[in-house]
Amino acid sequence: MAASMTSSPHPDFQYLKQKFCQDLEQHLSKIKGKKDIFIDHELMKPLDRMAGAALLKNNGVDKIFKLVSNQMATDGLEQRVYLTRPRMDSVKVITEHVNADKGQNHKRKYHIIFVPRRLHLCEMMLEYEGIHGDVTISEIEMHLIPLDRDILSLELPFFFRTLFLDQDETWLHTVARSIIGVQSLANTIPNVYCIGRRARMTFDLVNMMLGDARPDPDYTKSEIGSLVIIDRDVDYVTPLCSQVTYEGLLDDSFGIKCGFIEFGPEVTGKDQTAKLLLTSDDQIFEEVRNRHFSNVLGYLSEKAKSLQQDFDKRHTLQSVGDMKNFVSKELRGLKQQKTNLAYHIGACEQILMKKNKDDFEEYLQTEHSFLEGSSLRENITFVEELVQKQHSMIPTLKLFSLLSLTQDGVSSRDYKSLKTQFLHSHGFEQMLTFNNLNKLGMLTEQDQSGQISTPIGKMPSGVNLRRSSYRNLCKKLNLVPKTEDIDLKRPTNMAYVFSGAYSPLSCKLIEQVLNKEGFSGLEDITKYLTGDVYSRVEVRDHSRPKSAAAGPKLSKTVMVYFLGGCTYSEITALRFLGRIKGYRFIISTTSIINGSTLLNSVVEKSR
Amino acid sequence: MGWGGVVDLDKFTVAAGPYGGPIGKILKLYTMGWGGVVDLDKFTVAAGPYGGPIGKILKLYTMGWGGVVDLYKFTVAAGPYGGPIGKMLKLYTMGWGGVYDLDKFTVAAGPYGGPIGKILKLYTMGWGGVYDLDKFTVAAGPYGGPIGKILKLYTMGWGGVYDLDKFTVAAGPYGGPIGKILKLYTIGWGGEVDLDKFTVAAGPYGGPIGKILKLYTMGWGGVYDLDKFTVAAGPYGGPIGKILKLYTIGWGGEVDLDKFTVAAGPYGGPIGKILKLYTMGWGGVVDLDKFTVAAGPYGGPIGKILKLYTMGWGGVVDLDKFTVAAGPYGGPIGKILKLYTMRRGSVVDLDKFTVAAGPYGGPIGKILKLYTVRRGGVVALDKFTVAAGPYACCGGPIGKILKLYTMRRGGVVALDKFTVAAGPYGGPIGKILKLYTMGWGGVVALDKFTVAAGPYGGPIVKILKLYTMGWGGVVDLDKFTVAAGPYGGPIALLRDDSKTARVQVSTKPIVTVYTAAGNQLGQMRWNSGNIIGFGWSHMEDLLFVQEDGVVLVYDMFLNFKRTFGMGQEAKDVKVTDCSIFNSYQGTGIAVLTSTFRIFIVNNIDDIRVRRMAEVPGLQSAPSSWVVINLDRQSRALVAKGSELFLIDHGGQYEAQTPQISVDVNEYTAMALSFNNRYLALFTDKGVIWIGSSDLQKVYCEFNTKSPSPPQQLSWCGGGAVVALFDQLMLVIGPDRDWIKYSFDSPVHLTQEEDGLRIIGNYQHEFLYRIADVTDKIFRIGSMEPGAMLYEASKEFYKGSQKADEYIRMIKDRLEHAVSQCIEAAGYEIESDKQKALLRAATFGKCFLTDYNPESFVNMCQMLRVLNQVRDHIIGIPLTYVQLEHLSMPVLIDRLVLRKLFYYAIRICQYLKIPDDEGASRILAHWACYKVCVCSWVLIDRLVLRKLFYYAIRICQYLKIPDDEGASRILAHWACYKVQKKDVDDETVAKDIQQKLGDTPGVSYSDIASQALECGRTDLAIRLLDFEPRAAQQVPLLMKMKKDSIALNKAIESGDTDLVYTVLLRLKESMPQGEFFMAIRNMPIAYSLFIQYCRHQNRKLMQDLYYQEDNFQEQANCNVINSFNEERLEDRQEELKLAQENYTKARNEFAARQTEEQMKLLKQQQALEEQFNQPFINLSLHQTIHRLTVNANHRVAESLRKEFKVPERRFWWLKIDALAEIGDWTELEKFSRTKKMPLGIEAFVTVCAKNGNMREAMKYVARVAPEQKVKCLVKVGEKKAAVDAAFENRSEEELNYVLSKCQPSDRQLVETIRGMKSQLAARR
Repeated sequence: MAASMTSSPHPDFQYLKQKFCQDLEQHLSKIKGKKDIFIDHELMKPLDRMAGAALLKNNGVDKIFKLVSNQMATDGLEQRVYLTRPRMDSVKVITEHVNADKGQNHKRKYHIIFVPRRLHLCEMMLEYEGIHGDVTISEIEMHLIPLDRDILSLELPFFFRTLFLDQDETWLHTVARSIIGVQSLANTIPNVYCIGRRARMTFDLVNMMLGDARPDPDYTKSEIGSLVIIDRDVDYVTPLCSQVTYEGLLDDSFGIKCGFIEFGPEVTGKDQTAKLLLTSDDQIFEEVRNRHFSNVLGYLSEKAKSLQQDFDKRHTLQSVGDMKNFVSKELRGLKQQKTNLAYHIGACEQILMKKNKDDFEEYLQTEHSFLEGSSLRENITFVEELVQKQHSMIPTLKLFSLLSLTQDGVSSRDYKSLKTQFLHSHGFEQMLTFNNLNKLGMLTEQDQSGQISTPIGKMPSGVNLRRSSYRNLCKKLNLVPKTEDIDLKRPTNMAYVFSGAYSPLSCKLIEQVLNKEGFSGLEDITKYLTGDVYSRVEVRDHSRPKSAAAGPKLSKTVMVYFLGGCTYSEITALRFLGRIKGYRFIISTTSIINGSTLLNSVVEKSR
Repeated sequence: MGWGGVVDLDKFTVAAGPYGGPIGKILKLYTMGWGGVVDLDKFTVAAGPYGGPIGKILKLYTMGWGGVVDLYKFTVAAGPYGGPIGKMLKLYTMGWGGVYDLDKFTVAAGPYGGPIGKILKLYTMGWGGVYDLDKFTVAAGPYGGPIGKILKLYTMGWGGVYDLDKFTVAAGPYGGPIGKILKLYTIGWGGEVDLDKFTVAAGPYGGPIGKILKLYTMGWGGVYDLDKFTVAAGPYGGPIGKILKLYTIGWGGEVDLDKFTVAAGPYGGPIGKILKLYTMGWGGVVDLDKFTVAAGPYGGPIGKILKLYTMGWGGVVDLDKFTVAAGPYGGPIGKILKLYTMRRGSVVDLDKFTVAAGPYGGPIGKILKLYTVRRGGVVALDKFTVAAGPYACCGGPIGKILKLYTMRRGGVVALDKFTVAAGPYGGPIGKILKLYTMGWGGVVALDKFTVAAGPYGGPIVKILKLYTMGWGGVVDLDKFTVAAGPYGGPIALLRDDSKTARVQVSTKPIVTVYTAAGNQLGQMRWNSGNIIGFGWSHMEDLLFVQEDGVVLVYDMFLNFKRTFGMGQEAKDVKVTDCSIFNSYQGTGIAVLTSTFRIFIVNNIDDIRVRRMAEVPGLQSAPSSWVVINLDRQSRALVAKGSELFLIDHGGQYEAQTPQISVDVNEYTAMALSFNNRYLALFTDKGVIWIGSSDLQKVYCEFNTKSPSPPQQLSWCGGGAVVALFDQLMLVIGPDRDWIKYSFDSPVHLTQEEDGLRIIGNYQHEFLYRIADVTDKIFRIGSMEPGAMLYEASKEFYKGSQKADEYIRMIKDRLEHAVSQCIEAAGYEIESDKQKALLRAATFGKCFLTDYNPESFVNMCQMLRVLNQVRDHIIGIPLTYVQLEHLSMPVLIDRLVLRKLFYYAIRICQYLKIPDDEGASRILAHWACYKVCVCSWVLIDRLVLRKLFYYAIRICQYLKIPDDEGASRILAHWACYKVQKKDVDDETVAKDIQQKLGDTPGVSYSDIASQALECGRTDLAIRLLDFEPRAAQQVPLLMKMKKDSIALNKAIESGDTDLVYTVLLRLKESMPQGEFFMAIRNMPIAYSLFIQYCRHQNRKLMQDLYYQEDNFQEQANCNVINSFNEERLEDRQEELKLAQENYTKARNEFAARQTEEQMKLLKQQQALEEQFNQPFINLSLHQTIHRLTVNANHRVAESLRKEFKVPERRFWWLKIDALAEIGDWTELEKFSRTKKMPLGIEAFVTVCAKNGNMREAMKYVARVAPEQKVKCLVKVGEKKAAVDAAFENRSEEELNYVLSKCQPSDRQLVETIRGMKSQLAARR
């Protein structure tokens, strides 16, 4: 299928970066003189992406520290700036700092800059601690961080837990603000589809913030045609699956943070680690990021050959002029490519090594049969064996959760036995983890009446996972392709992102919604979904035969907003979808996750 | 200065010097008494750069009886290298019936010592009015050649004979004479006047070319002969031409006409032509002369001289204009303009001389002279300015003289200013003196002078008229007590009984408030107690202090606002005096009681009455006292006789002894400057002492010789003290310099930050010190860049090329110049001056490429706003300085206070203040005002009088016109009064909503809070419904104690932060149980609160779960707590609680797990004791693993049994542990166990995992064939694996190995491929 990419560029999100830099400079320059800066550890990487240390240094920052808990900070300059998320833990650390100084009668000026906004709660905490008068408080709006041409992220890794587990909706405000921000850049988005309760809430919040007074938007100027907001709890299955695209594997194996990946000595082949920025600007990466892993190494070796050829060109250079041209123009680029290529090949080797470890194949096999719904018994045994073999906790838990999700709960007997063994292996405190997973609806126990047990207590949550929902959705949306031969090299089916075993539920849903321009006709699907759906369609797509020809043209650019994070596999799947359907997807997310980070965020770490 | 006499005062300064050093100075002083003769001569000789004398000035005065004043000034300017360039000589002789002789000779020396020229002058004046006057000026060119000559003759006889001559000679670049001016007047009424002039022009290379000879002979009633010979010498000594001129004027109308034109060219060719024509008739004598003398280097005409005389019968009018232009290449060099206007019966002379000479044509000097002489008084006024610059070639202006006369009938005011400025690098050399003379009969002369002083000259003050009072003719200030607010605030007048006749003592006083322009704002009859004093607060509220210490606060429209007292003690003993002052906190009030104690309130918005310390031994009222605010403390300075005491409210007093040179019995008046820094004291002997407010520094003492204290003693800004004695105002500067003004009606003085407002019956004036920057620009002869730019701009708009020259002079300081002009514009109050300065700034900006226009734009905006609010309709006479201090928002607030909403909004719009800070805020005020009007006006008037219809009409009238909405509110309001309460609220709310709509930034919450203040809570809530921003709604709702609504609104808003705000407040204000109940039905609030507790207060969270009977969560809390406990007992305790709670929650599984954990803990504790090794916090698995590693197999076994660990898992655990410690024999032994739950491949796995391939291979041998391939791969024996697979003929196994192959195993891959094809072939 010919890729019909529209040529119109994405809305320029670099503005977000400039705006933030301006704001930050303004705030810092207001604080005259030299100062130290403490940066919330969660803000380190985003700040690096958005501004960089040079900007700080240029604005009178002397030393940069990471703000971590239980940290003593009594040295340093008389002026101190804290750049932090408005979270209680961070505020607590700051109060400790200030109180420690006070204890030593050390007078200092403290400035707290909350990103993206100051919360009354935090100020209240400062007030309770009696240091509200000692600090000056301000805020800088930083919402979406452009990680790549088509990826925007809020970089709020704790978002999933606070919203879905703790039911704290504070950060929905930030999401809503970010949507308003995008709309102010790219004009009002005519069509909005909300999948899930929080998605709906977010959209309501957007409307409330804009107020009723806003004039009728001019949709002809809209650069983004549709916005799909989707709750993570609609689809837990996809993030729990092991990723097999190159980008996904990199994240699973090395962890990509804010677009940066760090390769250890085993990859670089040298003593020091290497930090690489993974964006579409890296030609080699751009070429392989969306590929199935089996298809990567071949390309890389080909690339190595052609690079060598390019290098060899220098031997054939005739004139001095050519030589000069080669050195000044190509050599640098080639060298950079060569370095990057070496890293990618090194990374591939590492991944291969891991894949070749005994259990991985079986692990993947089990995962796929869970998704397919086959050989249940054997798979449970496999999980059991993982527990017995003391396989590391998170992958085991991943598989365990996947079992529950695909079977709509684990049968009571298996549940109890697995859980007991798990607790024996990994400690009693994991009881609370199970409790959390239960609350989220990720790992539940089937009870005799055939209904899964509702979470105990009166916690109002969106968990009302209906029986057989996965199985039904799987059937209706054709998540597991029937044909065996999925071409992994030239994919024609979205399922290629999971080796042809499964198409991401979230992406399939998005495909359907965009296809039907709403949810009518999708009732038999939506009834199996967690939470509600909602749509507001202002402009119909002209290219559709049935739609009226009047009205503004609908932009083919679609923004997908994941509340609670999305995986690289989903991004790849959407890119694939865009390629075959002619959409241009912009993926916004609260953070980029994978199965491990997702589970890690809900594992109880009380010790 | 004598009374009713004439005072003249002149000063002359002449400076010249190439490198800026002043060379000479001319000082001239005239003192003329009535009936006396004073002569004053001064000679100044200025030396050239290398010491040679350059010129000499001779000056003679002769003054005759009858008020005749003569004034001469001579200025000699030196050329670039010491050569004099020009000289002007001027002589006046005016006598009524007197004879004066005046001779002057000036000889100027050339650069190399050779005499260059000679000046001969002869005066002969006969009795009966004949005067002769000759002046010769010979100027030498740079290389010794004479350049020009100026001749001037005046003859003024009694009965109207005037002679006036002007000669201008301009020199060319290399000494070549370029032009010549000859002028002769002969005007005689029945008399004869002869006038001859000769001009000799020199050739190009410096040789003297000509000579001028002039002879006058004038007889009485006789015949005059006049011969002139001009001989011009050629370049090489040959004579070039000759000029011959003959006049013959006979009595009774003879006219002679001669024309001679002799022009000499460089090689003998004629250079120019001179034409002269006289026509004089009896009873109408008209002379018309035109001279054109042009000489160019090659014979081309260079200039032209035109002269016209017109004399009418019965009046003599002379009009001469001379234009002599010469330039090296024909460019004009200078211009001379002369105008005479003579009236019969009054003598008016008006001369202007402009002499310009410069090697490259730049103007060197300018002379402006204006005479105004009126009958009944003789005023003579002369100004001469001669400037010479060594580098005059640069063409910059060197001096400027400005002089203005204003004379009133019946009084003579003479005002002279002279400024003489020296060359380009010279600092200003001159000084300006200003004198006022006020004549008899109460004549007040008030002029506007902008006089700028020299480098170290003192400041000069200026009085400016702000307004003609709107109350003109209605109000006589004599009958009122006056209080005016600072910063152009309104004026309150109190009809004072004590000032009028005591007939109507019983009537209550009337209070009237006017704007600063005298327009009435409000009036009322006072109906409370006796007013001791009143004044304005900084919020423009009017404060009245009553005898009983009660202070009543009114707004400027005299609507009552509130009242407060000055304490019980003050009430009991009566207040006798009060003082309203600006303290650091706002506005304060101090009162003096009849017991001579002072009570003070520092801030009328936060009333705390403080009692000041007692002044020791004070038995009678202090003669004067004042409240001083310094260092954030208010203290009172009290005068007790000759002693001064500084008292504070801390009970401290301090005797103060200012340094004063005279004896003091009593201080009868005190005045404190606006900024509280300076103090003026007035003693009983009339001495004014001026010093710092801490009495440490003395600036000066000044004896007024007035025994009685002034009516008012004030400060004009921080500069001068002003004492008002009846209608005489004395301005005293810090250097004891003083000025006296008198007024023809009573005035009131109000101190401002930068000046003093003088409120009179008809006028409102402003006295202020001229700002430095203004001074720099307008100072005569100022070389400041700003002054140059201003001059350039003026020239530019005149279309003169000089503009460019001026600009070029200040090229590198242009930015400074622009800033100066902008700054100076700010200090100007008159808009035409502002415009002129701003125009200069714009002009200057054109030459700057990167000048930041912000300050300019800002200044234009500010001035526009200032001019607008200064308009008499608004009547806020603010200056720029005051506005800077007051700030724009406050000004807008003040406009709002005056209900000038429209203006306020327009100003906001003009200044582009964002809507939510500006216009919307004002709209909100307007709405608040509406609410207030509803409650105040209507409740008062409608309800009390029950005249609803009229009341509505009145309300309509009171409203802003054309506002239907307003009347509707009132109509509904009236309905409400007769009907139900709730109708009203809704309507009012609705109406406001309709009016305001959803204008962005309108704060309904502000309006609501206003309503709340009026006690209309319901209306407030209703109004809040319109508020789109929950963040604004919620705090107000909380203020109204509508907590539940607030919480709902917060939740609706979706902003959890807001929810927290309410929640945390609720938590504080409510009993805990109630609070829990309140939030349990609000899931969002509930989960937020839990979230908060999780971080801040875990105990509270548990309490909450307990209240909820949420056992599951309680148990979870217990579990978490158990891990946080240090002591094992506590931990067990918590776990026990958890277990109980899990049971209650019917979560038996969890309960059992908890129980197991308790057991495990107990075991681990025992193990720790037994093995002295950490076990606690390990999982069961880890515990057993550790035991196995330590080879405590027995204990491990018992644990296995106790916790029912499945066989399979236990085995895995065990072999793993054994492999880990490398106990291969034990492992081997173990592998031989019968009934093994694991396959033998598990052993391979653990061995491979721990890196012992050899050991692993042992087990591989025992592995079942179908597992063998996998095991071999695990061990790393891929080759063997391939072989085994091939043996098994299993393609699947081959593929498995293939998938494990790495790029390095190319060989193997080939092999496998081969085998696969073999297998396929076999099939």
